[in-house]
Amino acid sequence: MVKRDGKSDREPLFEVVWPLGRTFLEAPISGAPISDLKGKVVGALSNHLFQFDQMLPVINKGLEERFPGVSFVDHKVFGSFHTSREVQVFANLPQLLRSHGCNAVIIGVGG
Amino acid sequence: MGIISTAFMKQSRVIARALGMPDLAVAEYPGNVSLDDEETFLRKVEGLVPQIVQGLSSPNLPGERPEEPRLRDVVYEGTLDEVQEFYHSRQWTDGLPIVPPTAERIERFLEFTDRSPEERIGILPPERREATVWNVAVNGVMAGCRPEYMPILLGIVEAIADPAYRLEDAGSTSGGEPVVVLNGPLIKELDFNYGQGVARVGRRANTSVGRFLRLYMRNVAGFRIPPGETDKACIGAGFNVALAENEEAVTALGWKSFAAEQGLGNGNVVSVMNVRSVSPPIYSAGTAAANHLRKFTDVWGKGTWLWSAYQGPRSLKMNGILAMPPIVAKVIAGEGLTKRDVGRYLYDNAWMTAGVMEQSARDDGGNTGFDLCAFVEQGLIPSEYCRSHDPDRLVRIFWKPEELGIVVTGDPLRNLSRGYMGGGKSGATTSKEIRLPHKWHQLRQKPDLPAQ
Repeated sequence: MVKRDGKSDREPLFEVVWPLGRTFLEAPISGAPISDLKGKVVGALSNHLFQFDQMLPVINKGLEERFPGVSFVDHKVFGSFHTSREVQVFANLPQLLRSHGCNAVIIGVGG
Repeated sequence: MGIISTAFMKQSRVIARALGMPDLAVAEYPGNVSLDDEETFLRKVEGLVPQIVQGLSSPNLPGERPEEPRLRDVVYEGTLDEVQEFYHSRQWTDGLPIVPPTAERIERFLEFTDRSPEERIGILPPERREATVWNVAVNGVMAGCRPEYMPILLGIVEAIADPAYRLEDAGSTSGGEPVVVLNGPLIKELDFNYGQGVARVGRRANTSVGRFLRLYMRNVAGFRIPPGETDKACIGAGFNVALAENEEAVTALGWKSFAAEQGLGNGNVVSVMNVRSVSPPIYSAGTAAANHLRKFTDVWGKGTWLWSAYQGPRSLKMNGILAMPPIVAKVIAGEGLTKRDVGRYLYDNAWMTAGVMEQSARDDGGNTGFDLCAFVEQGLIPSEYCRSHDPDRLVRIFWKPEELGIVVTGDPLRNLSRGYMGGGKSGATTSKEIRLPHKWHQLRQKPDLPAQ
């Protein structure tokens, strides 16, 4: 508790409480870091906003130049999660990521 | 590995921390992607690649739970002015003075529910804090509510905690502001305004309940404007006071209440919808329903909705509320039309060109992939959105007639309506029954706390 200094004799004092709620932390997503993408599969997830469809080919090309043999799964395979079908898209995601053998995922774009 | 533009980096860090991954790597797109020329865009995207490589090779280390006060801990003691300064300095107010949340005041609120103070109502994004009966009471006190509003406040928080409401979107650029719609006997019992100036601040019940919702979203969900980091409203809007329906008028017209249209009967019900924009005043005149319906279509539909109508095909959802005074509703009901018929009229008569819809979608958030015909091909939206590829073909402005609600309210003798435009899937109308404590009538007889 933070105590005030120099209490007034005339004004009432208020003992007040915290207006927030406890934070509820999720268990972090586990997964080993990947420093070499050679032979790995990179999936893309998108909200279909902020020109991600135009960014992705440039990003994939850049990764391919650095890591020959890397392969990609397009964001359209997974569907947009920026619709009212979001719950369904996310529910299908683990199975889809597994079936495509994704080792890493790039998601965008925020903002 | 996420890609985030500069304006959202702080928000992304808060969310990552709340998800237990404070060190989550993200690649930053510098600036605003929608305003860059092609050359700049390509250069910046190429700059993302090394960040992505670096991010993928970095471990996600778990975060630690922060030290936080417990439920009834006193966090400060001071005079009224000192309490204000203390709360302002911690971003725990909405910028207005608050009523000090003392244990005594909170307990008075808690009397108006049979639920345990510790009961968790939900986990609210983006900060992923617990919404509890206790912190509903705390923020209710702070917002200037009366203790007997507590059941309404709990209903409001249940609504925004419902995953269908999608509170996580409430900090988006569009800066929507939720509106509470109240139905049931509590409107009269607790002195809610449902007449002249219904949406104006000034009546304690409507005003403090509206204020509570914004304050709660700020304190418990965590949506704060700077120096906070998570409310990304570009411009934003002030809080909406609670909108109560004139149920006597509704009954006299033979219409259903707003809550009954939501499938929740005639009891006490609270509904919340995120309001993206409020229409200009819709003056309508004449003795025929068509006079009024045409005006709604022109001002609310073709006017207010035009530049946001893409929300329907993009999000497959699009709510709206039309607040209409009794005297106008009477003309419409006089021809045997229902609230649903009004929604149907708007759906059938508000049209725009596909080109304008696609352009406005692209302007909002660089949605370059927004292509109505492609959506039709994918089976996402009805085929009528692609009768041809002509950008001048007409498409509907409203997505579904049943997503348009009517609230009869306002000056009973004036002929001005207003439309509240919702978002897409974000902040969709969510309704909850209000549960009164079993000692409700007994508690209502108790005297108020003495003024301090």
